[in-house]
Amino acid sequence: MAINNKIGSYRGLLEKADKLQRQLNNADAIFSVCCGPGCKAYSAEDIYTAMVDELKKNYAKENDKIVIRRTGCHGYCEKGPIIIVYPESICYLQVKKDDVSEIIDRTLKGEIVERLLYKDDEGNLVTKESDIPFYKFQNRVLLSSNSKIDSRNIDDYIRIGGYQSLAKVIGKMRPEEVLQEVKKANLRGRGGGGFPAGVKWETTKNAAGEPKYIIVNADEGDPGAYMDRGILEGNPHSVLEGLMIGAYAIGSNMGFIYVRQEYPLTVENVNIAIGQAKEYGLIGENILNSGFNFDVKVHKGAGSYVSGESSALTTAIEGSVGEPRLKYIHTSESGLWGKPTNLNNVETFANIPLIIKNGADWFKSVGTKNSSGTKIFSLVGKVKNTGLVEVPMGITLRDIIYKIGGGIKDDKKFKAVQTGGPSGGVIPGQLLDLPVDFDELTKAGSMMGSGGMVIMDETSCMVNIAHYFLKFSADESCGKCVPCREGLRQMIYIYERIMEGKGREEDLTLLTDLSLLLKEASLCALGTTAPNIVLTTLKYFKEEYEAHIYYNICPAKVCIPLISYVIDENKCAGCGSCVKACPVDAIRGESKKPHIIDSEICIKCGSCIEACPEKYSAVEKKTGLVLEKVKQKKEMKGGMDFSK
Amino acid sequence: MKNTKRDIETYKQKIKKRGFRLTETRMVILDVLLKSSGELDAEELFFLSYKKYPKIGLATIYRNLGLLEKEGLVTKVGFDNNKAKYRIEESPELAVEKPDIRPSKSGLDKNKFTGDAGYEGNLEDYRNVERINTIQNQLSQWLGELNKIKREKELALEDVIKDFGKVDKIVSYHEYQKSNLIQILLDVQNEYRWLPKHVLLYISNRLDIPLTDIYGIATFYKYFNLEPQGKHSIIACMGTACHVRGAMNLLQRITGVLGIKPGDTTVDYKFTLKTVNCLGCCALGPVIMISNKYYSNPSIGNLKKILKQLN
Amino acid sequence: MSDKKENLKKIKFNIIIDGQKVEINEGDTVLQAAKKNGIHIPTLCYHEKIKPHGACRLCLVEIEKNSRSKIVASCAYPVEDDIIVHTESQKVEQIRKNLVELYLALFPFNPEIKRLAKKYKLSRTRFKKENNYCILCGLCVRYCREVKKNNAIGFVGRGINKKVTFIPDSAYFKYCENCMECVDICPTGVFPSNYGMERVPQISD
Repeated sequence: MAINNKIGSYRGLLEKADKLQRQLNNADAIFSVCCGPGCKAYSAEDIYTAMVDELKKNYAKENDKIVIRRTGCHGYCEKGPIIIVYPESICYLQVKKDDVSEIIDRTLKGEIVERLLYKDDEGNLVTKESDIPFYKFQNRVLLSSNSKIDSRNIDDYIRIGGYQSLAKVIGKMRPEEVLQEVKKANLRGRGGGGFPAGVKWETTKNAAGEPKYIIVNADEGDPGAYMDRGILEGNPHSVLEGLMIGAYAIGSNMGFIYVRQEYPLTVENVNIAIGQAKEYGLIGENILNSGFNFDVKVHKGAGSYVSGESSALTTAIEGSVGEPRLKYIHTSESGLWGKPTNLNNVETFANIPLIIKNGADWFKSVGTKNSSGTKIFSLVGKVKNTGLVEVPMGITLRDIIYKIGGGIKDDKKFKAVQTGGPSGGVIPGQLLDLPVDFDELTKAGSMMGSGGMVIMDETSCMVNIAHYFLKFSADESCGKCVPCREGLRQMIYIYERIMEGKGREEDLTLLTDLSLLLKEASLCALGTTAPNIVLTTLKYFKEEYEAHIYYNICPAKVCIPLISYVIDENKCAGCGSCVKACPVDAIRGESKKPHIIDSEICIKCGSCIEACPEKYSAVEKKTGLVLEKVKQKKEMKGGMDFSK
Repeated sequence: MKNTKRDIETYKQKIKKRGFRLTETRMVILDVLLKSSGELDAEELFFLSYKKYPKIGLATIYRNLGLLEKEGLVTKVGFDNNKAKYRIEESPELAVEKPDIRPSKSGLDKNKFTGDAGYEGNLEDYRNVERINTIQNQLSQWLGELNKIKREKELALEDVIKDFGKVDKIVSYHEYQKSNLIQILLDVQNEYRWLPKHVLLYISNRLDIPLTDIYGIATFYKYFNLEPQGKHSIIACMGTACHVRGAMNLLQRITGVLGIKPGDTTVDYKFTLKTVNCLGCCALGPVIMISNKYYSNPSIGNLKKILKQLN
Repeated sequence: MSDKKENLKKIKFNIIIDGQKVEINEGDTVLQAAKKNGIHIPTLCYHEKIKPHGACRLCLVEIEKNSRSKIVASCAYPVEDDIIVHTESQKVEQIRKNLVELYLALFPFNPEIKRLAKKYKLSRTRFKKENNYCILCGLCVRYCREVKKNNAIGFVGRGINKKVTFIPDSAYFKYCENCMECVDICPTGVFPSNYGMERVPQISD
């Protein structure tokens, strides 16, 4: 280990990058093992360890000619674990630990392990990563770097040109020039607000007060969204570089990275990255001998979604409870400890080095008129190919879901796509040709948010989904202002009544009134956007609400009080598998004779459906039977009116 | 029937013998009930007394009505629009035996005044199963509290001093800064897996932060536990993707197998069940993380097997 | 430095509130400006001695500036030059009406709420009634923290489960017996009898 590893200049960076690339060109084989969150859950770490062990055991001589790197998320989480062999970009999917020795052995012989390749519906094999349909229709400006670098080694980032934009900025550009370039590129905040980053930077730069602070918001609270994790865990240096360029532009020397505590690996990777960058003199005093100083600190969250809101985040960093503040004083003018503070999302910062390197015009060449560049979405739910996708702004929802996503899982019917997390709304089938862009999605009633995209099919009940999101917002709300707290509470009561079959006619008006109250009177964006899900489901799926209220039917067969599990006596063979599976002993019957489920005891957990052998498939969900019971009860009790 | 001879003085004398303290509020309630010749609910009582005694709050009336009922001085008589009505007890000399329900000691009594009153009138809606479940839950809760008190009492003085040493190291690592409070608490939580009360008192003293602020932060953020946790953590993902793929069913299965609600610990302190908003592996949905290992949609049999292996 | 302060005192803004032209100092909030000129804006969580909180949302008004209008909380919004304030525009009335209906389900006995309910002709509420009368205005917490500097009361929990409570082991708790000022400041009159505090004597005792 050299005592002084500091890189002293732009030229030093270029030379180092060159040297590293030449070293890599000499390698016989390079294996990129994806260790992103999805693949990790499939035991990707074991695969990586197995490869390293295999190398030590059987290929000790060729040790320095074979490179094995563990990378961040490649994006195709549905088919994980993934290994990519460079330089040919051969992509192996759903790799298991036992495949490891074969992969190494055959790769060194120049062969391909065909059974691990992607196979399309006609049986054709695809070798290269970029030819796989999932990747082909994406525009992977940011994510493609993930597979080319080891997430914990700064050398890899430098090899692909890292920190050269920073060197260019602090060595050759003035802060105003950097600002103008970012403004020209029309980079809009990728955290959900969509506010132009350049304008925000300018306000902070012009605000009075010293010192100025700059913060990275990595508190990705949206459930089902993990784009920021993909970038921050897989390529933390890109975010650090963007952060420093931003700091230079606004005149700040102190940065914070607020990472949510639920991402311990991300925190670890970021800390390692900061340590390595400090060692190379890329963070600290007199960076690259330019006179620019910068220090950064990692601040962990503790389990609060509302703390991801910008004013709440600054309050949390100050050490208090993360509640949003009144908005009339912007954080750009008075934020952290009363000083001008600039806050941006991880993805926004990750785009900055590329904008500086390739120019604002390059950035604007992709996307629509008002939304330039690409956006990473986490495509999850009932879609065949789940994972992280990076697409140009302006692509239609249909293309994302069908071309990239491969269509609906199990070939069921598409019902709706939910964008923007708890602040967004649902978009139905008739709007599938909507171009994905900040303004178009907002016009449809939803919003882009941070990029979560959940696909729902006919087995999702819109009333249940709205209730789910409202419960999330109510739980995560800070509880300060009355409209949000009490309004959400009352809305949840109404939904619970509807889902139990006790809905009333006035409920729809009540919901709309409450939603409008929240939109106008809430203190922060959580309150004003929480009713979006209610308003969009009411607008596009009113029939479902009406079925719940007037007929006590849940068309999607989800709402527990309105469904019952029934065994079809024509199909049941009396094998008893369901009896064993039932946790509350609700099923009775003699051996080899059709069984019966006691609906009074049944807790509707679904274990019986899963346990019933496929050849019989005798258990089904029915809705509307409950209405019969309700009628019987009514007659017995002498006419107490339940539902109206 | 109204008996004009009865007045507040008679009551006072009859009760004096019992040693029951008649405060101003209680006198007012009895006075109003006597004079009203009928049955009143708490809100009506409040209105009638408000003009003469504006300092008495509605909740004070509720509380005192409860006490008076326990002592047998007023009787609850049925429901009208979900509101209980009260009548003065004609013969207060007979003390009625009522069960003793102690309030919780920590001052954070979660069940007081949180709108349970809505259920009181609709008993016929309850199913037998729910009632049995409630009783079972109550039993396990009482057992858990007993265990907890036992654990807290077992904390010896040397352990407490050792804890202070550990915590001091953490606080000095964060440079004794008040703004690093959340980071300090996170480190303490990672060390002990919960936030013991004596540690919080120590931090409050050391950093000169009011204890109310520390409790505010510890209860605001979901990650912090103010109660000791079980040996193994079971975390069910409640993210949107998992929800759409059936996370609610999975949650019901695991609650059935463990017998506890999310947020609680099993009585033998082996397992704690929690829900979290997204674990970040949506392709495996619905996901459950047991002792840091991920499982995708396990059936009841699998769950029982996994839990048995962990014992 | 003192020059700057003097200049600040001299800066006055001209704004229009409900059609009335008024002149006010910079640094005042819209609510203070309205009060000084006899215009009543309903509030619940506002108190002159403590910083504005913005929790009750009853003080919302509509502000027109540069032909764009927005809804703001008047207790916290600092005045700007040349703005037009509507304290009872149609939008504001609609919001206030729905808000009062929500409050009626929480705590209907407060005089301000009763007055507004009468004004909007709301005799009943369509919402489910809550028995917890605390509206979480935070007056007690903020008063204890900012004026008495005792920090004996605090918020615990978040969202729907948020509550106000004493922490019995708090070092400052011993001052409460002689103080008890939080009880008078509570707009609903139910604090602190909710909290079964055996050590704190009741007013009615």
